[in-house]
Amino acid sequence: MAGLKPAEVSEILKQQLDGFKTVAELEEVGTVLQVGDGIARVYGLSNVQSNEMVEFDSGVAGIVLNLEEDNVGCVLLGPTEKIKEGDSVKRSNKIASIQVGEGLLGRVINTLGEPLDGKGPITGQLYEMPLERKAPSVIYRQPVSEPLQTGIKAIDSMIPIGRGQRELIIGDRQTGKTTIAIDTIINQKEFYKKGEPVYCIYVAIGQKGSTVANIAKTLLEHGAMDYTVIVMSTASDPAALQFYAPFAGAAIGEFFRDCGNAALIVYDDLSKQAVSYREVSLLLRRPPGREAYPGDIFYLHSRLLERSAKINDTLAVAQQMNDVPESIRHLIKGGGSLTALPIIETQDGDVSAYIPTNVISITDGQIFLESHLFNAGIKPAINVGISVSRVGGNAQIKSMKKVAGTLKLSQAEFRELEAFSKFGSDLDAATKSVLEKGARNVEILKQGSASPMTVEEQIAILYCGTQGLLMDVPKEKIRDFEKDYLQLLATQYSAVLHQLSLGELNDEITKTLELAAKKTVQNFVY
Amino acid sequence: MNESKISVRYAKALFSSAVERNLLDDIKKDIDFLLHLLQTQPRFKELLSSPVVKAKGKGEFLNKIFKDQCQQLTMDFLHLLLKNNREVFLLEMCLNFQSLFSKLTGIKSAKLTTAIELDNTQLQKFNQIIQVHFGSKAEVMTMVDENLLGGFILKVEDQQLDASVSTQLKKMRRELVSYIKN
Repeated sequence: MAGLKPAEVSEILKQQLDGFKTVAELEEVGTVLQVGDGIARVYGLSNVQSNEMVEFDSGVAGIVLNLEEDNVGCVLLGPTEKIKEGDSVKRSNKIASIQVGEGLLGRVINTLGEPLDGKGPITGQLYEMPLERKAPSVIYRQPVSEPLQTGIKAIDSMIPIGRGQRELIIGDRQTGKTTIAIDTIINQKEFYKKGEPVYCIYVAIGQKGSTVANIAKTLLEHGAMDYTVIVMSTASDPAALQFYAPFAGAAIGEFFRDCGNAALIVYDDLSKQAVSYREVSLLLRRPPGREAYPGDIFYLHSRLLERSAKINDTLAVAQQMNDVPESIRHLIKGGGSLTALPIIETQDGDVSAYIPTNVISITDGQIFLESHLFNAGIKPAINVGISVSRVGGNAQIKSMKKVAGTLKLSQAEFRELEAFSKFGSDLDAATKSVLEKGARNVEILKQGSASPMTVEEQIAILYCGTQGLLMDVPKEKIRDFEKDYLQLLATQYSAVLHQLSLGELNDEITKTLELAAKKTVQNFVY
Repeated sequence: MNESKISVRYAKALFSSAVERNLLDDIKKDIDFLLHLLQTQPRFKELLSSPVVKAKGKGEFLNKIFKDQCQQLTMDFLHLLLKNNREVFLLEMCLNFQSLFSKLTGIKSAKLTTAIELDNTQLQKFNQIIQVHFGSKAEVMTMVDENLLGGFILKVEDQQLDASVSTQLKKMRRELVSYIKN
């Protein structure tokens, strides 16, 4: 404030006053009958539409969710205390929406698009996007074909994710679910630098403010905020803001998707969103169902996740897309994608609870994290046996597919044998070698947080594991080996790495990899 | 979910029996009076919705206040509510009754709030405005609220014309604040 000169202020005031409309407009109003617990019942507003924004006397906004015979039920997007019985409520004639644009990148916003990071207003051209929008129908879509590199060895090799896919990350608390999502966002920096950005949206639902601050800090430290938007509604926000947060995130993602860009959205987490939706539904007196969730909890998640898609890359087709908001109609380009990584927290590993089974059936696969693996020091703590990716295989680059094709099966076999071998010590040589190789692969697949690896490096190290080139290296030394080996490749055989990144894998390349592995192994054999 | 059904049904029942007995205008007056009480006397509403006061007590209370002023039909209606434990919804029922009334007669209920008392010629002008803009007759209830500072707020059922100075000042304030924030 101190920076403003008096003349400037008066000038602004004058401008504002000149442009001020004094004509009274006819508005539609209703009266608050009852208010409490974040919802209001309003009498009147007989022409209001479902999902329309309304405004209360005190300036608090609300969204209409229930239309009943003689009243409407609204959820409040602000403090309940400011609203009194008998207050008047105005229609806005606008469906709930959010202002979206490239200016959001690097910012932390709430469900309504208001900045929370104290960096001033959102700059640049903004477009209005509705929170609820129908997903693109079949003809505007295309099968998943491009990989979305997470930079995590275990995922990119065994549970590959494609652009436009929905891959669920599921596990108990404290198993590294958020870490996987954050690492994936950090890995997109490579593409941002190359000029083919994958814009990222991280939606924090019902989390602690301090947790989100930590995540923002991590992303900032790794230079990932340049292409990331954080949408947050903390545990203390009204339930309505919490359950609309993923929809706000999806609206931002759709903006990037429809403009022909690749985008990645993380919903952290949908179980908390389901809980806040249950709260609102019960207060609106919708009948409760299983675990007291309302009947449309499945639809809530399915319509949200259905909005992730790979859009047809023919411009003419993409421009015909259904339900495009008028504001961005002129910007539509084909070939964009929106990949979703929803997160679900389970209680004590129970995946057969209501919400987990729902979301598992909606998504195109799941990454299952387990606390006993986590406690055994296997990070990321992915249970390979029950984690799947239903469409990502088509999106893997060829060289990765060739090298890692059998990895998942052999690791599953290893887990089975490992359990079996605990009964006795007499094992034949073949079994022993499977166990030795499996244990080394487990070591290879371990990876620290926020240390993404390029796809060519992943292929190079996984090749050593799957071909059994590391049988002479002690298990504890595998990580050191990896470091030296990749360094050797980067310094002396960078051409091979480049070829791998293009998807090539021929005899010459494999020979070079084997040679480099042999050279490095010598340093670790005693 | 059931609240709205309950209030609509009771209102409909009262309305149709009022029509049958040719008592519509009298009942309308009673209902307006009840509504006025409910909206201006929070303690009256509190009493009706209180679970501590027994239905018998509420009945005696209603008899004392309304017996001399209201139609027998209204009294019967109130006692029926007490018997069925639906007295909590009286406000919604009154509102629904009003809307049924305006649908049948074409006379809308309007509320005019001004900063100063209006004289008859001014009121007539308002009636004309309502005729022209809303295409129907209206029964105008006037209210004086000094907080408006000037101008008026005219509310005809769901629609509202807000030409008060206080609202314009509020709008102006909001625009300036949002300009400075940006």
